[in-house]
Amino acid sequence: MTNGNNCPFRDFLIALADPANDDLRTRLDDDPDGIQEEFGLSTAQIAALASGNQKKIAKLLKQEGCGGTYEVTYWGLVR
Amino acid sequence: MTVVGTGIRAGLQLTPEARHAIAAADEVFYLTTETLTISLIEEINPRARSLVGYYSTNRPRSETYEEMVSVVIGALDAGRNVCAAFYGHPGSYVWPAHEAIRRAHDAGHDATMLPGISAEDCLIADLGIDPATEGWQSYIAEDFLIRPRRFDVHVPLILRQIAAIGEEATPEAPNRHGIQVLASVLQEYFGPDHPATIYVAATYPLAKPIIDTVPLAELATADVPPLATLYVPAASPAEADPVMERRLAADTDSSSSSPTTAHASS
Repeated sequence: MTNGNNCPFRDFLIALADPANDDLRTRLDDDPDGIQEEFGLSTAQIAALASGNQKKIAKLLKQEGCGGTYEVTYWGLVR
Repeated sequence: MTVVGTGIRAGLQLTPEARHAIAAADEVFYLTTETLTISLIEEINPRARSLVGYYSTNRPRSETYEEMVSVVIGALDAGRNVCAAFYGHPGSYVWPAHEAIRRAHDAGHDATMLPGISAEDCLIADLGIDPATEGWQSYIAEDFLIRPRRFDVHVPLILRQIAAIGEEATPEAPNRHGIQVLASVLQEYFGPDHPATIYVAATYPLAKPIIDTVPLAELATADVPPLATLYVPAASPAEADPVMERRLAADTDSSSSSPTTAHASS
């Protein structure tokens, strides 16, 4: 299943944020390449998730530009 | 009206009762700048609206908060079932949440606050601190500086919003001068070599918290993320008071005549 929109990283994180999708964490550990292909993620995005580095994750999330009408500020995303 | 917290880590720290309150409301107002949390709230209730737009770098935060409260109470006065969702714990360092509850009660409405997971809850877990061991004292950093309370160097000190010291409006960058003043004041009590931890709870699934421990002498030049909290461990454990220990060990009858021991900070 390849993500059909332009926000695969945001959508994958949203899926991870749902407690019902706890199996995704296990699958990410066991088969990162499969998850990358299935969700249309980049190598950098997979690496950021594996590292757990919050700043890297935030940076890639912002780079993806899926904040909608939100503007990126020092404090976060502001509508 | 129900006031809820979203927790810090998107989705995963939203309690079931908070999720239910968001889903059941006619109108949902939320205050979080985290894009994942926003997406989740809007997914749970498509009628959800952000309060973030009231923030501006050009106006005092007090005005912003006042306007947020007015919008929420306006919907309540209009007879709507309202849910107001705030980042973290809605009752922890969130003036608009408490004010909205107070005004709702004054107007005769039912209003309830549900607890959420706060940044301090995350700090306790991530830094492995048990307040039962040494106690706990927590302040907004600016308030800590402006009102020189007697705090206890034998108790861990938690200072919130260290990036916004001296800022009336929402800053575009950490206020370096404010951090320098804070570092200077803390060094007077703890010395330059005492450690302090700059902490930011993990916001995203799989992310780790930001934990950066520096000597107080280096705090002024350290990297301070916008939502950082400062944790200053106790200088040393508090000594037990033998007079009080004897008093507590005495019979109930004799304890009433025991001398009173003052609890003083140092």
